[in-house]
Amino acid sequence: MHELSITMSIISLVEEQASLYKTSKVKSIELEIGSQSGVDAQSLIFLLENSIKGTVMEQSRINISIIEAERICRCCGNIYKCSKDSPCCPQCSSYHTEMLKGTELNLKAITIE
Amino acid sequence: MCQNSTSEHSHKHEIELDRNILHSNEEIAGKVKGFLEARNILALNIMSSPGAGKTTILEKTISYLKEKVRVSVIEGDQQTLNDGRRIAACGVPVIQINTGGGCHLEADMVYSGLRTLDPASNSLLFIENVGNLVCPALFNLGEQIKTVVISLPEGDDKPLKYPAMFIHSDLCLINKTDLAPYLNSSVEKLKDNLLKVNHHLKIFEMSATENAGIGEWCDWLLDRQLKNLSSMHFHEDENFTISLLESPHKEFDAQAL
Repeated sequence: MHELSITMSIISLVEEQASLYKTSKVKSIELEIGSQSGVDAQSLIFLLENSIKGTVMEQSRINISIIEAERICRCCGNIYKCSKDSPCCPQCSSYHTEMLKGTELNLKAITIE
Repeated sequence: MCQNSTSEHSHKHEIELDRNILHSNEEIAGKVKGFLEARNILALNIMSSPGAGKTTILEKTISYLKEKVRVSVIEGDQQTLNDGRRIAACGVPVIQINTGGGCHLEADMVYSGLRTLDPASNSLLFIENVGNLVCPALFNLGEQIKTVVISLPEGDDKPLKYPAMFIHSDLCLINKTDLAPYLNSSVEKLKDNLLKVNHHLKIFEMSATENAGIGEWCDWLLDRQLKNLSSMHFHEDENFTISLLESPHKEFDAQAL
């Protein structure tokens, strides 16, 4: 249940920004979650919805974009979307690959009034 | 606090942030890293499912290493002093952190643990995380080496099923290899799957209860640390006790849900 820690981190980041911009109302927040980040977006939404009461996020829309895992193959240079079943390169079947995208855990933006 | 909202203009205003959600954990992990660097301490974050054998590996590792280098341990568990006691019995300084409901260690816990533990310069520090193959992977603790332990009975396809932990790790210890004859999973297949997920992983095979393979990994650790040691002499007559730190996150539980 690390999503709870992540929920609390998001709320505290947003509150920090709200106080910086002297607002008590955050209209929406944009999150970016990598598909290999180890964070479950559904759990995160559930926890956020149940934790924002009494915070500047109480009325916020929560928008989450999932970033698909992307790898580059060291053998043939192919850049590909990584399937859930196997991280191997679909072009040359090599496993000598590096992660390019998919571990993101970012607060991209907030909209205030 | 002033509330200026109401009348005039209520136009929306977007603020680009692009901030890591775990920013505050990363900041404290940076402090831990600085602390460790200043004392020339090599720290390993040891992670695994519950029951993979982390504590047994540490017991055997300590008994192999403690004549050669100073070792200290931070133990993370939800409850009990059990593991802390086992490590204390090995004769090295240990701090037990109980996370309560928490499923992983975070950098602030390690930072306060370190300040109490006050580990010696030029030493090795093992941070045994809460048994969990998912959550601990996301939280940097300021360690230099993320180590995942996987035991053979867990199945040789675990790296494919729980990739995040293996993607984030630098080192993998395959434990309980002595059970191979009784299992369907094979060490070779497990290694193959580990490297499929992360071909940078350094892998050691061992059976901690049989004390097999411990020497090889300990020698590798010494190699990493010994070159930095300015002095190999230390006193061994200290009496070590366990201290317990309650997780600072309990207040979060109460506040959140």
